[in-house]
Amino acid sequence: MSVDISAETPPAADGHEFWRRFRRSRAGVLGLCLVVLLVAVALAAPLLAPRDPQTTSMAALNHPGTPGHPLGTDNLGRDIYSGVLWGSRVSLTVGVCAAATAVLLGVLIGSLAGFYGGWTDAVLGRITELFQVIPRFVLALLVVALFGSGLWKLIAVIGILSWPQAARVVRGQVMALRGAAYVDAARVLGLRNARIIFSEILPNVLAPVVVIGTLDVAGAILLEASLGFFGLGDPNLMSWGMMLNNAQAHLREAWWMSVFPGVGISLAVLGFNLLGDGLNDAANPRLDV
Amino acid sequence: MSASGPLLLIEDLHTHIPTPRGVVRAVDGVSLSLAPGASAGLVGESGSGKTMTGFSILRLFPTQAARIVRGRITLAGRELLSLTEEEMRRVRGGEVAMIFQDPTTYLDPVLPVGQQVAEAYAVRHGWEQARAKAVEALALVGLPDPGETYRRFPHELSGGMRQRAVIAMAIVCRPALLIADEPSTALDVTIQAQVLDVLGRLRREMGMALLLITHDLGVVAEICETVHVMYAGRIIESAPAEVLFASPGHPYTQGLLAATLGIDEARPITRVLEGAVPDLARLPRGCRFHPRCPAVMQRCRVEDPPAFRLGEDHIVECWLHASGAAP
Amino acid sequence: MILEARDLTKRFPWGRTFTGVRAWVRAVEGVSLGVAEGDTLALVGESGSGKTTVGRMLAGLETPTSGEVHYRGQALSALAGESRREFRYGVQMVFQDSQASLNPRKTVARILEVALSVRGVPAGARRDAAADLLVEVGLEPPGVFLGRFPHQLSGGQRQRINVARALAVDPAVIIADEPVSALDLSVRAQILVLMQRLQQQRRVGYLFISHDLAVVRSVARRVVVMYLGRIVEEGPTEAVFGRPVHPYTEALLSATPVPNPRLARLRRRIILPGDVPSPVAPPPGCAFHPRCPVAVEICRREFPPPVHAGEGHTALCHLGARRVPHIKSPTASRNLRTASM
Repeated sequence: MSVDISAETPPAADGHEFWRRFRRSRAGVLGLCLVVLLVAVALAAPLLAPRDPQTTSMAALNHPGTPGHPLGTDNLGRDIYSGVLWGSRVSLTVGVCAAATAVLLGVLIGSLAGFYGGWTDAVLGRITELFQVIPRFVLALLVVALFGSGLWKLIAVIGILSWPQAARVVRGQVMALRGAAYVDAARVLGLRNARIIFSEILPNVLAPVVVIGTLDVAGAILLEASLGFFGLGDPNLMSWGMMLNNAQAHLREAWWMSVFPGVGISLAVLGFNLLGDGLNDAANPRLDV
Repeated sequence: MSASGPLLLIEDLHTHIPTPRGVVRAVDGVSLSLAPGASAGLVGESGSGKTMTGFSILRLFPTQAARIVRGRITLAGRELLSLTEEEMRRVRGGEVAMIFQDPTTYLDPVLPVGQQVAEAYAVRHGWEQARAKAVEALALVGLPDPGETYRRFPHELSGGMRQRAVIAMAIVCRPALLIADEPSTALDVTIQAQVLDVLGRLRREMGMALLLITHDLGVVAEICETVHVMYAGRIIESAPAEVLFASPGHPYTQGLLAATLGIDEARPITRVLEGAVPDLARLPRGCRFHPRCPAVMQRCRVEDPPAFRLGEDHIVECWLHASGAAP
Repeated sequence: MILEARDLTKRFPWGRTFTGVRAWVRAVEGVSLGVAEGDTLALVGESGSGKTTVGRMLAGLETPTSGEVHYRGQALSALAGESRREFRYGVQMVFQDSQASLNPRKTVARILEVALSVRGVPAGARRDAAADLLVEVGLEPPGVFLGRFPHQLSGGQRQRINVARALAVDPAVIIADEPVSALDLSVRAQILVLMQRLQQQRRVGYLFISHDLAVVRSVARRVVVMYLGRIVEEGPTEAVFGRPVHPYTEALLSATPVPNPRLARLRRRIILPGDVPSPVAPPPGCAFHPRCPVAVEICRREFPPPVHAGEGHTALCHLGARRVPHIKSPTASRNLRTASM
């Protein structure tokens, strides 16, 4: 070799380089904007919302543009605008917390399977496959129907049903890295396995995990909305899914009841998906000449 | 082509690679000539530009960005740089062939090796005699039972056999010049010996000239008649092998030789060249070796040294040999 | 001996057949060797010789199928608690690939601090200790290097960091697996000089694993030559290089390029035919016989006996007695089988 140009291009470990590549992905930047917007709306909901989304009034089924109700009201006179704003909190909370649960479980199970291999891997692998083949939505429906709903139950159910993908990716990566020379060096130094996994291996697996976590948020938001749509959301909180559920009976006379929460769901899911793709492209740059 | 003229003549070759960090001057004014049937070694460490020089001759670059910006390359009297891409394709594998360090990359895993060798021939001369020529080439590189080897797939061969199959592909059209880039570096010592033996035999039996690109001075000593030492894009010393090894003129060559260990004597390493090859995008001012040179003088820091002639074919780019300077 | 291999054997499973019977890769068969304090023992062989596996077993990275690694006279499998930890400090490793052996996400400071923490250096003193290590391996001023990531260093600098990490726990033995093979010539010399200086200063023993006989000649006091998982010859460097007994050793020496064109042209070269056979099915008798230029009938059938060729110099070859003129009878050498191995 005479001129090793690749050696001069630092790996994704370099934050600046990562950001430079991420900015080149238009979809990723758009996703980031949507996610930032969603977070801002969720944080500022109490300030932005003109009224309590649960408060009913006599002004039932008002059209959008009605004074005081920019997006109209539902069949019980609740303000849709306020409902959409407050609903973002539920979606974001469930989405982020459930994805975090899924990633945590996935990383744990995946790194155990990948690091130890053998029987551990065989058993955990079968369990992962089992969770992958059961229809998530049906099982979630069943669990919520049996044990009742609530914000934290939703998070737990969605989280527990969503870990396999993270587990599979982490397992593969850990398996590839456990034979790396720097892991051997850590072993020779006598580091304990837990320390080797957490401090030597996992930091190098972070990039794909972040990507999967981001995509998991989108999936969890969608799943939460679907459960809400079937009337299995947290009954005490105004969520987009529940608003859709209410809207079912009034699809013909009050389109605004379904459209605005629907747009909220779509933008949130789109945002996290685009962000995930953008991060993925930035973490795994394809050869661009 | 005149009988006495050189087969390959490179004059003032410059190959640059634009990168975000600046222009990498991978080859920065290289000149060398090679007589028909002769063997020369192009020696250097990584970053010396030796591989890029080899690629420049065939205009085959690992990166699209690489550009030959100046110079002349003449093969048997023909100006290569003025050839079209189509004409160049006929030169590659025809008059000039090249083999590389990792043989597996150049073999198609789903075709029998013999067929691949035959194809290299058929591209130019048709399929009529291709099979016979391929078997002949496989025999020439010393593969046992060439008829049988013809039918075997690359994964069925060992590393050493694969490298010989690649050599067979390269020589099946009987090139006048073979450029071998680290042909034995990835191989075990005993297999390296086989490959070097094959290269030597091909030269004798086919009258083929050899340009060997390597970092290994031991390999050069074994099979090269002349040696060109490259450093940071330039040939800083050229000499017949025996002269270069016996009385190296450039402090870099001296350092390399001091660092090259032999098996015939337990020689402790006494002199060590400190530092590393400079960034080819940010070459130092003056002589490019001066930051590492143990004999650096004031002049070296400001002025690029010209070529000084020490013997008939012994040329050194170093101010130490300017008349009036110390030895 | 600080670190010893006693009759180490390592077999890896190699696929399964339908009947459930596995084939085995015989990576290492009955290897015994020892590294003394402040000494350098070279382990030489080509790919497939098992030299790396021997190194990994000695470092505790692989468990032997049979045989034992002994550290300061105690069997590794019997070490527990404090003495196990002492072995961990006592034996370190430096790998061939300087980049792959450093965690790409960690700075030099972090890499060294982790190693220092293992040895119990208090957190507050680690940064200074790391800087001292950098100075010791010739990376000065240390402040420049502490904050760097591995990809921001050159190959030679990275290999110095690897040496520094090994030194951080103050080992008695460093197993260096092809430590300079991937480095450029001038950098290679720098690292070899560094390793020699450290040995003099710290009395550290090296097991120097390499395929490069020229490097081995300049660094090792004793040499062990392996072929297909077994030791075929061992002895003082001067004796093995100067009067090789085993035809394989002789061929290796003859195949190593000589950096001297005059000598190179005069030299008689032995070119071995073929390649190293598969360690799944090593040839019967002497494993080297299919490539051996002087093999006779008995080599195909019987495992060769050890031949004593001088002080601490032994080879396993049927023709050994004939190849070492001063040895009279093969029976004399046969008695050495237990003594030398």
